[in-house]
Amino acid sequence: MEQYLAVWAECWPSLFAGLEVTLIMAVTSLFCAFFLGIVLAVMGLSHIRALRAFYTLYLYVVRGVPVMIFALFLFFGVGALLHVKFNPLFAAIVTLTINASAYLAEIFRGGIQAVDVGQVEAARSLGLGYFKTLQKVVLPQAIKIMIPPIINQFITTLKDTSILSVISVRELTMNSQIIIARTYMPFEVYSFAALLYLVVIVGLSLLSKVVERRLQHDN
Amino acid sequence: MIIEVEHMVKSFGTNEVLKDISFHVAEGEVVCIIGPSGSGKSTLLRCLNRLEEAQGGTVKVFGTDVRHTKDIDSFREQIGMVFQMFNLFPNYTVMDNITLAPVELKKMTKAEAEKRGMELLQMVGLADKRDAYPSQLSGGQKQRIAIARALEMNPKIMLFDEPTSALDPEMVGEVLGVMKQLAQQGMTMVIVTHEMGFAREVADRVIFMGDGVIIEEGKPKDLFEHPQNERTKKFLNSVLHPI
Repeated sequence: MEQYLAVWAECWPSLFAGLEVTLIMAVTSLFCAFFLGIVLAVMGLSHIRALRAFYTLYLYVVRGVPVMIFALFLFFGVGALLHVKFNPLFAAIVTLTINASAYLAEIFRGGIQAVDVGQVEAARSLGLGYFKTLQKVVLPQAIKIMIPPIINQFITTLKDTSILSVISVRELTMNSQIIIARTYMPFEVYSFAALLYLVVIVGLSLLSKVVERRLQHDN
Repeated sequence: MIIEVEHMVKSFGTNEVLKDISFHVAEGEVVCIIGPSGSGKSTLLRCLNRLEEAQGGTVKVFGTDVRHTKDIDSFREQIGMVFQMFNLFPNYTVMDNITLAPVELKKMTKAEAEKRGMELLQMVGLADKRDAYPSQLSGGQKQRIAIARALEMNPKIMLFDEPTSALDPEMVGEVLGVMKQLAQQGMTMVIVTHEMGFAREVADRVIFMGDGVIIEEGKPKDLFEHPQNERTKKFLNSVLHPI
């Protein structure tokens, strides 16, 4: 136990620095993915066939390619093709944004489509227009359906950041590996890293529960 | 004539749901549409405010060409619609369900809308439910609120799409009571229904539909007592004497 704490005392600054990068990566890419996801969902719900086709293609590509391959392809592959050396953090954020945007778009699209079509018909038959109906009737109900899967996606993306160690982003997993290379203490260091991920994600899950309960009270 | 439909045609894919429908409704008239399931009654009703798009013929309401009007929203404000499944907005209170559309469309201030809303709630006998959410109401109460919500816009016509079909039997009467009251006030109403007793008592005219065509229409007394067509006779016999 004493040794355990001693290792902790030695490596926590580096682990926290890694956690900070992890959180920056997750928050930035989720923020961008949120808006990109909205745009994509609008395409997916559009009456215009070409937009729907693009949406479907995007979804299939993102779902069909592992995050690690996508990151390696972008960072090394595209980098080599264009003769540029991407900033690893930038490449990581792009990768996660593209990945999360597809899943979020599906959550948005599914949430909107899960609202009973009778709700739209009732609103439209009262003379409310398309956007008013969306704003006042569909979205308030859809958001309630969307919140749990959105938080779930936040958690997934947060965990996916650990994959980006393969393109040398100095996040929590990468920093753990660096410390282990120096100290040969994999049991201790990985358990610290796991604990840090766990604390952040449990925090997010609890937040999700609170939000859900608050929305239940509304009706 | 407040509603004029001529040679209306509607298909879903290869399934012809309405085949050459023509009928008129005069101002203040109460018309009930009856007929077996799948005969196109609801589709016919939904074509009148373009919830479904008719594919041929002319549909005129207040002289407006429904199929081609650019401003469908302000047209729909004048036509109230009541649905089988009520379709109240679950995220709003009863009063907010009623006042949402007129306030959003800037037809009334919030205060005016609530004053009118209270009058309508009193009319449907649910003034004490103004702050309740739809999930706290029975089916019959939901449908009476849905009627009040539609009336709040001061429509000139009310369309009812099987308003009592999703209700427990003991709640049918309270909804039909409100509809009867509305008919007596001179509202123009088109009602798709399976309530033969109501059609007979309240309707000025009854239309019998089968397989996408109007088979027979007439005054309720004539249609119910002396149906001319064999299919009308068979249908009425099976619904009026089920055992």
